[in-house]
Amino acid sequence: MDVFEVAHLYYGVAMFAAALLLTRYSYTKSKSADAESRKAFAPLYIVVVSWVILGIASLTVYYEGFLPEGTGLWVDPFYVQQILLVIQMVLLGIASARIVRQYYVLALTLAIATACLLLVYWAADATLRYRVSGLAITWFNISEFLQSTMLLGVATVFIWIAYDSRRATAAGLAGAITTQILLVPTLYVGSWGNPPLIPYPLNLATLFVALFGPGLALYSLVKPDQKVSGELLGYGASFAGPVIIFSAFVAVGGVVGLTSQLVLAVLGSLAVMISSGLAAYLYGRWRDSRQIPTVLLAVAFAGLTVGQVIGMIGALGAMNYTLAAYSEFLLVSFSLSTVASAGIYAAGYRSLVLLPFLIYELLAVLILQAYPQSITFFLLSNVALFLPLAALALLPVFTFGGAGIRMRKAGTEGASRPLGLSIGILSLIVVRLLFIVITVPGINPGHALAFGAYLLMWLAVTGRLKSLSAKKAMVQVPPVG
Amino acid sequence: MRMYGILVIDAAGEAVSSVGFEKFSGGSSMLAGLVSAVQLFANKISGTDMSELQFGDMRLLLGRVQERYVVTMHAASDMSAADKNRKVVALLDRNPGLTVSQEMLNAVNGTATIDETESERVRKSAAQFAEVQMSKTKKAASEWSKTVF
Repeated sequence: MDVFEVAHLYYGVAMFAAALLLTRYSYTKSKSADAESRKAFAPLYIVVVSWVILGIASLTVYYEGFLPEGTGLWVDPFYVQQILLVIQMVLLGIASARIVRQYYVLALTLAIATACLLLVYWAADATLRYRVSGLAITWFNISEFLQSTMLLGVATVFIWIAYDSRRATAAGLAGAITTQILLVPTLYVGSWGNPPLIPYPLNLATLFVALFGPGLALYSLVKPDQKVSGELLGYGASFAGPVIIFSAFVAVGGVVGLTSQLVLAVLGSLAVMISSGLAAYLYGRWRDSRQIPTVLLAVAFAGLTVGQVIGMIGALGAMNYTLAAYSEFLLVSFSLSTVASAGIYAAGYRSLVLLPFLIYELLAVLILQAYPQSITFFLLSNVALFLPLAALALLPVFTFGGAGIRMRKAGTEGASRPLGLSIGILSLIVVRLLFIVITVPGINPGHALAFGAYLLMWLAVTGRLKSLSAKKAMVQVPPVG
Repeated sequence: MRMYGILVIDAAGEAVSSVGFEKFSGGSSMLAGLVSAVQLFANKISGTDMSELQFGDMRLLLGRVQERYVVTMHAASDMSAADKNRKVVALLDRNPGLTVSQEMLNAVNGTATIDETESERVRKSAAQFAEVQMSKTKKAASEWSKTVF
C-alpha cells in the first residue's frame, strides 16, 4: 500500500466528521434565523452532502489499496471514485451557483461534469478493450484537469468569502475545498511505468498540504468564533502531521506485531501535534503582541514540526532514509538557531540576533557537503563541527533560564514561562542529540521522547504550568483558622 | 473617424495626384510646395523626414514612398490617424503606379472605420457586462456570508 492510500482513510473519516460538524453548525445557526434567511443555509447543506461523498470516494481509494492489480473493471474502485468525485464537483458547483446567484456557474458545472463523465466512460471502454491503454490514462488526466479547474473556481468563491467576511468558519470551508485539489490521484499514482506527476518523496509534501483541509474545517467548526488568521494553518498541520506519520507507519506494514514501534509512533505523532499547535498558538499571540521573539519561536516550532514529520517518515522507511535524516537535521538545527535568536533578542542583545543564523549557515553548508554519508558517522567523526551547533542550541537554555530565575527572584508574574521553555528546550536537545548518536532500527525513540519536551513547553508557553503550580501551592497551604 | 484626404508629391515638389484637398485653401499645389520645402529643410538639419504637421483642428501625417512624399489629412482627435497613414503608404508602396482616388480614400476609411468602432464597442460592452456580473456576484456572496457565518 502507498502512503497516500492509507492517508485517504483518515481523510475520509475526517471529512465525515467535518460534515457532521458543519451540519450541527448550520442547524444551530439556522434555528435562530428567520424563515427567509433559513434558505441561505441550503448551500451549506449541499457542501455537507458533497463532503460525505468525498469521504466515501476517499474510502474507496483506501479500499483499492487492498485489491490485487488488474481486478475486474466494474469492481475497480478507481472508477467508482472518479464518478463520485464528479458528483461531488457538481454539488459544489450547485452550492457556489446558489451563493453567487449566477446560473452560468451551474451551466458550466454541468457542462464540465458531462465532459468528465464522458471521458471516464471512454477511459473505461478503452481499458475494457485493450486491458492496458495509454489512451485511457490520457482521458483520465484530461478529466482530472477539468475537475481541478472547476474546483479551483469553487475554491475562489469560498476564498473570496473568507477574505470578505473574515470569519474562521468561512476560512475553514475555503481551506477544505482548496486543499482538496491537491488530492488529485495523478500526483500520487504513476501509470504503467510512468512516474506520478510529482516524483515520490516530493509528493508527500503535497499530500501533507492536502491533509490540512479536514484539519482546517474541523478546527474552524469546533471554534466558529475564533478570528481568521494563520493560526488555523497550524491547527491544520496538527491534523496533517500525525496522519501522514501514521499513514507511513501503516503503509510500510508496521502495525502488525510491533507494539513498541506503535507506541513510539503514537508518541511521536502526539509530539508533532503539540509542536504544530504550539507554533499556531505562538503565531496567534504574535498577532496580538507583535513581539519579535514570539514570532521567532513560532517559526522555530513550525520548523521542528516539519523536521520531525520528515524524520519519522524516513525512519519508517516510507522515504529515503539518508535524505530524510539530512532534511530533518538541517530543519531542526535551523529551528534551534531560531530559538537561540529569540533567546538573544529576549535577553536584550538586539544587535546579535543574526549571529545564530551566521553560524548555522556555515554548518549547514559543511554538513550538506557530506550528503550521501551517514549523518551520524559524519557528525561523530567531525565533533569539532558539532560543538558550535551544540553551543548554539544550548544558548537559549541559558538566556531563557536566566530570565526565568531573575523573574522568580524579583517575584514577577509568569516566571514559569521562560523557565519551562528553558527546561523544555534542554530536554528536547538532550533526547534528540542522544538518538542522533545512538541509532536504533525503526522509529527513533528521540522522536517519541520529544513528546515530553513539547508537552512541557506547551504547558509553559500557554501559561498552564503556572496554574498547575498555583493549584499545587493552594493544596499545600493549610487552611487558616 | 474618417481620413479627409491623400496627396502624393514627387521629388520636385509637384502634386502628382490628390483627393480630398479640393477645399484646401490655396489648393494642393501650394501644400505640395510647403511639404517638400519642409522636408528638404528637415533633412538638412536632422537627416530625417518630418512626420507630421498640425494646424488647429487639422493634422497632416507625412510619409514617404521611395522618392515621393505622401500626405494624409485627418482630424486632430482621430486616434487611428497613424494607422490609416500606414495603410495608405503600404498601398502606394505595393503599387507605385497607382493614382489616389475617392475609392482608395473610401476603402481605407471604410475598413478602418468599421473595424475600429465595432471592436471597440464589443470590447467595451463585454468589459461592462463582466464588471456588472462581477459586482453582482460579489454582492450576492457577501450577503450570503453575512447571513450564514
